[in-house]
Amino acid sequence: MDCLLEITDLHVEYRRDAGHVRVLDGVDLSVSPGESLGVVGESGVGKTVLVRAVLGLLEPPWRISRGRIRYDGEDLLGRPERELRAIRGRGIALTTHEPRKHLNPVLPIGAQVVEVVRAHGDTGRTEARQRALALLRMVGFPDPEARLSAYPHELSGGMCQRVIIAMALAHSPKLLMADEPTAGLDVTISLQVLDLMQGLVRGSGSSLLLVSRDLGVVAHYCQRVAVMYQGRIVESADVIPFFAQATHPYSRRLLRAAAAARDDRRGSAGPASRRGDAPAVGCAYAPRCPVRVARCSTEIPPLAPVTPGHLSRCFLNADIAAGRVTV
Amino acid sequence: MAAPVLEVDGLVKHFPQGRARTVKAVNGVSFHIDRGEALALVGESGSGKTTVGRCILRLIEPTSGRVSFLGETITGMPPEQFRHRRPRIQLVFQEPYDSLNPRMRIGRIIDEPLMLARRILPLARPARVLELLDMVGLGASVLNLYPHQLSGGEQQRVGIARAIATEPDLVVLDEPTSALDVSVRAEILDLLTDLQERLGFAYLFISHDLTAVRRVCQRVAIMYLGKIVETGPTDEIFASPIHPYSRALLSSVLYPDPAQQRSRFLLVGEIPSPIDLPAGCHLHPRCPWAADECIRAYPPLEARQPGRLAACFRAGHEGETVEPRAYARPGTPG
Repeated sequence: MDCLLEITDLHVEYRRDAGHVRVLDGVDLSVSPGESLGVVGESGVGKTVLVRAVLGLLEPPWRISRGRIRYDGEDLLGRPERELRAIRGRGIALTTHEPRKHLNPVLPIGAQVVEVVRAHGDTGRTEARQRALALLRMVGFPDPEARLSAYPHELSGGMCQRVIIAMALAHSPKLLMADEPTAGLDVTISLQVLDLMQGLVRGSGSSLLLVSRDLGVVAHYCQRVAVMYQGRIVESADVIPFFAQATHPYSRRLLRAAAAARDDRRGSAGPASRRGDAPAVGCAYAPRCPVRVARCSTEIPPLAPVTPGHLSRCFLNADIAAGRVTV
Repeated sequence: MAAPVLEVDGLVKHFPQGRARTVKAVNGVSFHIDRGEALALVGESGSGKTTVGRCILRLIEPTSGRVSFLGETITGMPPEQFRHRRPRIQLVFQEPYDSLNPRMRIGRIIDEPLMLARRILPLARPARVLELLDMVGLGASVLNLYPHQLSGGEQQRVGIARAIATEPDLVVLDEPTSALDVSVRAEILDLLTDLQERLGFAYLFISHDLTAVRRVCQRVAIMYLGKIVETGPTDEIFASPIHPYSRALLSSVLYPDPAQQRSRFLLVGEIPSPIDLPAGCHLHPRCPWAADECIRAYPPLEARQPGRLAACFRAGHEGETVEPRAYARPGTPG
């Protein structure tokens, strides 16, 4: 199968005087054309670093120390900035969380969208303005002409997120990476934004990489799920098998916590983690894992198939899947 | 019958912004909380839920209306007199780290309210601090740590221990879990439920997240633009919301289940500014059921079923509407 984006063994470090913090610790991930993949994880697992690494946006003290990122069959790492610029926006685009922070506060939004439209190719001013209006209309601005001169602080969070989406889709990218697109938005607005994004991506046949900590969002807007924990993918599967029979103990814990909201059940399991308790060797989840065995503290389990297309990074995959071990 | 722990009657809070502009944050809110009861005040940003909480704690003074605590009116009470009630109403904040003094050790943070309330002897305080840590699921090992050395969930446990230190009658929880990750959130909600069952506090749980309040609260009041639009027992509101805004809130909840049948009851557009409140029912510009009467007057909050109130002219008549007004779907990329 040809992948649009293929990330292999990606390692990212954050360099400090005191030493290096391994932020991504061997991430393997791929997105096929037209596919929507949800990357799920709690705060601090490296989701945002991952999408920024793909676009070549990491700067010191961040450093990619190992691994490979291929887009459309070609390596992205080590490419000159000029070539990356050509890929950003047209090939791969990114929408950020906290949209207001990523808009220029002293420039009207119209000018910012026009700037993005003109970043590639040689679009004239008038044409770019027309295109900006069309983009803002597409993302649900009822009266875009009146809003072109608005500043970000005059717009709600939901509207700012729409501006960011409009900019990301300006050059019809083949892959849209959406980093927590609904963080900080009110619930009734979140769904409008997600529906909008899904409609636009599907309409153009693009792929979507949706980064979220909300399993509910991923269940309804993605075809495949990858769960991240402490800089590694611990489980990946299609949405239906994942939500029906997640195998990794961490995924199960996440699902139980999220499902508790629905069923009025007790949701917690296992002790809370202390900050920075990831071990240097072995499975990162071992200290919190209720079913760990001796080798979990010394060896990193491989991302191994449970069923075809369903991978889980646990030594007990077979036992958990067969119900011999209950998590 | 004993007076309820909290009674809020016709609470109004307007913030003048100069040049005849006023933010109408709270526009006549009434509710009560019985002893040992947990009430959720749910609404999106701008609904006025936090302002209500701040008026109850007397962090701000309401424009009009009355707040009674244990049968005694506390609005307008002189600060010196209110000081003595203060240990009995406590608050848990949204941002656990920001609400803890970064230069104080955990033991001191929890000891401080005990010291100020002077309800137990100084010699008894260290034992009480340990007891409180145990109640919130932390051990003596955190006593000498600083807040930054704890995880977000542990920090929030400290915040809760501090709030319950003086054995309050009412704990106001202002979005206590929205800054936390999913798995930690579940733990904190379980802790809050346990504490309430064991110690019988009353809670006012302020949140934008219906699923968060579900396990903790027996009753829910849903707010929109400064007014309560629906209130009733939690289970019943989840099973059959009456008000269209409650329906929209509930149908926006995405459960982690790809097979979930989603009722696509969506509102149009965004929440209007509380400076220019829509005439009539505040929801009418976004409501799929809106009719002429909704533009003319604000519907009264009326009893619909035992224990359930809702403010809507159209609820119960929705069958007469052929189809909810179509949700504006975006076009395809040009």
